[in-house]
Amino acid sequence: MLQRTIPLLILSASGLILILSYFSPITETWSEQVVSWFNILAGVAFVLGAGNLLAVNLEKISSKRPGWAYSAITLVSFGAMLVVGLSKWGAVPDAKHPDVHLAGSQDSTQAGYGWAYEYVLSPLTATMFALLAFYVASAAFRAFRAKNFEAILLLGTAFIILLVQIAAGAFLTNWIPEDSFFAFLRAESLKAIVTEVFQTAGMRAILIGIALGTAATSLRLILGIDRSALSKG
Amino acid sequence: MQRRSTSVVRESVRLLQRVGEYAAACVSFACVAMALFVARDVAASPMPPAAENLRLEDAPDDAGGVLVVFWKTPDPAVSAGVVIERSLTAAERAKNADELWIEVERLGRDAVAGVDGSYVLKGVPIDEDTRVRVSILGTDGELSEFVESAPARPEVSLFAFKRLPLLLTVIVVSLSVLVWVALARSGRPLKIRRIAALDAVDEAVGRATEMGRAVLFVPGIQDMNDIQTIAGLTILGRVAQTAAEYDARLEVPTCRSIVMTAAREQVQAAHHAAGRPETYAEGNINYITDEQFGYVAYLSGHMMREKPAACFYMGAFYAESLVLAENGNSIGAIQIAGTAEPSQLPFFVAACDYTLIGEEFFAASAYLSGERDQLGSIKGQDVGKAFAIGAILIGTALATIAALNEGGSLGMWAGSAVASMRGFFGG
Amino acid sequence: MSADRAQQSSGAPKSDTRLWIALLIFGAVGIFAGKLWRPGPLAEAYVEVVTETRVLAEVVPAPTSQGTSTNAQGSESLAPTSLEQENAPPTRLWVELDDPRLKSGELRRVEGVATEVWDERAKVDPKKAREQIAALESDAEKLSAPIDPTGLTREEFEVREAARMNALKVVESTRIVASPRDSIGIWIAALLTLGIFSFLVRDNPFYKVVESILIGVSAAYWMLVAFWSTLVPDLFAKLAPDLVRATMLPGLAPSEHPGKDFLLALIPLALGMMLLWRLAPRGAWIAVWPLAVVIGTFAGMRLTASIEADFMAQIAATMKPLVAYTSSSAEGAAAGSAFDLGGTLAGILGVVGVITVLVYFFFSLEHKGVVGKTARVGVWFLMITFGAAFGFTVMGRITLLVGRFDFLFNDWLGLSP
Repeated sequence: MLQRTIPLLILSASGLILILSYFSPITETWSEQVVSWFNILAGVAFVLGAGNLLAVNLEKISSKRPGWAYSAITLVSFGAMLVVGLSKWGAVPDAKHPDVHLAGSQDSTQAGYGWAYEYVLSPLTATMFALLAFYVASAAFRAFRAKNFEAILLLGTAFIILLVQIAAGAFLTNWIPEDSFFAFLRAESLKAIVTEVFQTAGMRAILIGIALGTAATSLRLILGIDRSALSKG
Repeated sequence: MQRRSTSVVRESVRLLQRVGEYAAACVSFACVAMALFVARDVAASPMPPAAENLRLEDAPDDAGGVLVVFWKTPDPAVSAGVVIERSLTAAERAKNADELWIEVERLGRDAVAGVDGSYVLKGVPIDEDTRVRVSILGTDGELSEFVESAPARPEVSLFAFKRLPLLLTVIVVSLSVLVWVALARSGRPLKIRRIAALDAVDEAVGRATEMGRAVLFVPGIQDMNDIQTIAGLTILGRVAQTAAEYDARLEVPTCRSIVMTAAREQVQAAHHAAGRPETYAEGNINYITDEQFGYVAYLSGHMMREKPAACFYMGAFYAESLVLAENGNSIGAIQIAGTAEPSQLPFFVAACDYTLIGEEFFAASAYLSGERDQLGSIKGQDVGKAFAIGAILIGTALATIAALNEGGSLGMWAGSAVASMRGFFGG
Repeated sequence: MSADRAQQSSGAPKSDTRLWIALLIFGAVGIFAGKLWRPGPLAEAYVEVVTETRVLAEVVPAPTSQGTSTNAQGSESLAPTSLEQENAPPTRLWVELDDPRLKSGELRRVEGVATEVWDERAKVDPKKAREQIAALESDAEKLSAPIDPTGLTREEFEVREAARMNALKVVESTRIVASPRDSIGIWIAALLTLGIFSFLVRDNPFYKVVESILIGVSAAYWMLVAFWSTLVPDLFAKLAPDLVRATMLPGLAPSEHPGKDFLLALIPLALGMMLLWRLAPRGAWIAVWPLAVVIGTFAGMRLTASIEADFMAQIAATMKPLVAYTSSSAEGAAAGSAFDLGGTLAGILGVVGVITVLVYFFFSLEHKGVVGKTARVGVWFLMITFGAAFGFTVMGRITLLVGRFDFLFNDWLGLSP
């Protein structure tokens, strides 16, 4: 009862309340309140995440499993960042309250936290993101080898858009007179046709589908048709 | 319901009244404007003309506390602004007995550029009368005489009438799902087309079992407040059940702490459902980091080292989609992706073996469950699509008639019909 | 799996070592050649140091006129109304040493409280920093010589001399200095960047180290973000405002409804505690309750939001005429404006696209016969849609890559002209 029925009832009730609240001016801001509560809940849940991170890596180190040294590196960098950021080590005092250390700002590289963000986290994430340039190329190559009509359509469109975005597109098609019947083959018109006609239509249908899917998924959960999430035993 | 219909009637009567008022106001304005036009050259008045037709009305469809001030500026040409004052509330009067009015706002030229001016007055007490007074500021810096409004009190609306079309649509969509669930229960045959990506789930898990390798399930990078993560986790439940039946190792690294907790619940429930609660291993479901690219760095390295035989990407994905799919490709894993993030679908489509596109992703969990209720709800989604197609066809036809017969009576009728359809759907 | 790994571990190290040696030699030669071409230090970083001084002052009570001084500086600390000010102890605030209100007697220093002094360092672009340092040096040299008094009256001389001393003071107090900590940072960032790039060759120990650092630092980073920007202001500040104001958020404004805030903050706290109860030895099932609340509330919220913003809005946007004229205005049509073939085709294709893709999504209908053909057309539309998104993304990703190379070659190696 406590473990199976009540959670389902809570789920249904909170779902129905949030649906109905949207239709009354008095309660329409409830969703904002719920979002703010969720953010706090996510903040509290970090205890679980951090606990799991510690447990997994400590276990690796203590059992000397292969690669335990990497776990040690993770733990040290995690701990160092946490200590530096919580203590606001090196923070620039707040001009209005220089006597309250924890009110200081730690965004500049003067503070340990800002330094770690600027020289460790930010270059790492930016480089990881930049790797995508290579992956895009290899994905295009792979799709090109698929040789079916759909793959050709996808890549052909991608190629046209890429050409149009760089100067090559205009260079290749500028000889087509602007008032001729074939003017639609000029780079800028091709881009407009692809984005405004095909992409708009495709996106509209995808969005309508997603909206229905979202609604149906929500209904299945709220009405208790799909109970997989909360029922065990 | 009766209450609603009476208020609809009340609304329409109010609308008619307002049209009448507008007409009267326009006529009177025209007279005043003409008189002023004639009088203008004769003598320049030392004081700008005072505001006319000052009205203070409740703003509809809100939780109270808001009134709207309407006025007419007799001569916009010589007006440079407007001063709006309101009466003090009872609480304010108790503190300060000398004052009667308090200035709320001093608006600039834009407020008096046209004849009709309006201002939204917020924070008005709902349990007492409030009045406003308005004075026009002339271009010469003189203030006109203050004009005082009748008292008004903001009304609290229980229902937002502007959302009535939404409510109707929600009811239509919900009913179509519910009716089909009921039909499914009554034993009506349910035919659902095959979805290749979902038929491949068993195959992928089976292959991983045969090869003695793990199954990797990535539930996206968003938290539980994203419906895609919730949908992804319901799919995780089905995949976990299959994995439990095959006794394959299922790894679920997560990007959020709450998702880790929810995934553990889901997988544990799946092991119970498969009748093998003893094989559930919590250690396979771990939190990595909230950072998108930190999570990707972990997954990339992990995939290269552990070489999972099957990779599932089900949830909300952003730039990392392609990194994951390409790495999965390079280790030769079967990859099944599902997301409703339109910007990432191209990459999954290009690099994965199977991709659940948008709505398919949301139907997947229901499809995989094989339960009649859930299959019925998928049918309900189709009714929703039929509704959409019907509305689009009718709307487009009407718009086309309106365009072809522009100016004609048929065209006029079609034009107004399509306009009200667009209004209903909020376009 | 074990055979697989054994094979890897026996075969990989040898070729790895060679690869790394080759890369290191290649990199060292490259850097050396680059430095011959553009001499200069690596990882240059400069900061402008500004020393801030604050003293604690209190408002001198003004018996005659209330509130005339309050808005002079627009200071937040002076916000309380004159009524409250009379009974409350004098407002205290930290001001600069040369604050005009100290001189005018509006404020007076609080005795026995130490002056707070600290440096603020702002990064300066290396090229600009070098120019500025050179300019400052030449200015200092010029200003160091006293003014030649010949041909000047005494007053003129005094005015000019005072101006010179002032200018010299400004020049001497401007400190643009090399910043070793930022230089070390650039070195570390460069090595980490290379570590990530090394994954493109294959998985390797260098990447594993970098990956471990990234996971550790980023996990802590997001926890800190949650702590400082959510938990402190939205939870702790509601539960214990006085404590938070004294220790972390001195600028925290008093709440209008402290009791209500407190009670509302208890709700997420209780949900959070239930979630954390998973770690307890008994009753871990209670953790499902907050999950049920989260799933339920967001399912409800997204239901209405998606129907309103996507379903209805997209249907409304699709209701457009299938025929188009070159002039869309009414008088244009009356004057017999030309039929626009391109626009008409675009209109028809748009509606056909939406409907065929929707048909593709139908689950009740097997993709056979007419439905199959329609769905196929829908797939074509989808592929063009995806292709366009693909094409638009490529350039963005290349820009990111260029950004990283820019960092390596310019910020780190200093090879920019």
